[in-house]
Amino acid sequence: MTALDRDAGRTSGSAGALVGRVVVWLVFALLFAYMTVQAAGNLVSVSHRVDEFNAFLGNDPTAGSLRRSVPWLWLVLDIAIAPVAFFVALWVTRRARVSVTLAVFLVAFAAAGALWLDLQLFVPRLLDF
Amino acid sequence: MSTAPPEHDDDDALSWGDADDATHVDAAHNPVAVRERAGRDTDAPETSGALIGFGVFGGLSLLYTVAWLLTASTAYVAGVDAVLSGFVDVLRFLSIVAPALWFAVVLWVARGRRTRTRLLWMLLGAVVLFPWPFLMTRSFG
Repeated sequence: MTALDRDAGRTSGSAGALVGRVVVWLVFALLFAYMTVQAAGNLVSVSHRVDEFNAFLGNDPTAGSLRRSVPWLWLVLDIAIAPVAFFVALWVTRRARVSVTLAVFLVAFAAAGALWLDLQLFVPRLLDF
Repeated sequence: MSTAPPEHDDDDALSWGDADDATHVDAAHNPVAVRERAGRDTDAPETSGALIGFGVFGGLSLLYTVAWLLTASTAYVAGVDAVLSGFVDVLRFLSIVAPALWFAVVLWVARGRRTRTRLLWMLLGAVVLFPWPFLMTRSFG
């Protein structure tokens, strides 16, 4: 094998690794994007339900303690989870092999999913109506 | 009588001098300039402190896994389409394996890093993956 052949093999190998990493990035970008879209939909629906509930109570002064406020902090955090997890995984794997990239993105997606499930359970409990 | 001016090569202005010059300092061999952050020899045995730390976080990840497993039947969403329902089921499974997966991936990916770095990543995992649904769906006392 000549040096030229070795260089060509190394180039095709690194190109293959790059393609593999790009595929991992794209697949997980779609999954994280879906999670973000669902979180954004959650924000819209929860704020709408809170508004409807408060409108139902009307201006009755005795119903003041029943009024609810939109938990913006938790809803925005819900939206931020997936992008933050994606970019942290991207930063960690910026010079990593395909196998490491896949493992890190899987862990990032699992962790983001666990946090997302936490909030799916926590936000309705805050509202309690 | 006139003397010819000495010839100057313009490139001399861009040179730091000859390597044979006694005052020449080669940056590549400058011990200050090329000092690298001390890495860990991957073949070297772990210290006792590192083993204790990994043992603590390994045990914690197993406890977290059990806690997430016990809340596997929790209804996180209701009245949603099949795609979101399937997505939540996947997340449900991943949240169960996430603590052990995080621990294993930190040990594998950061094996050449310092012990403190690996323990910090494990601490981050312990914070992020805390099984809140286990506490929220159960009453103690």
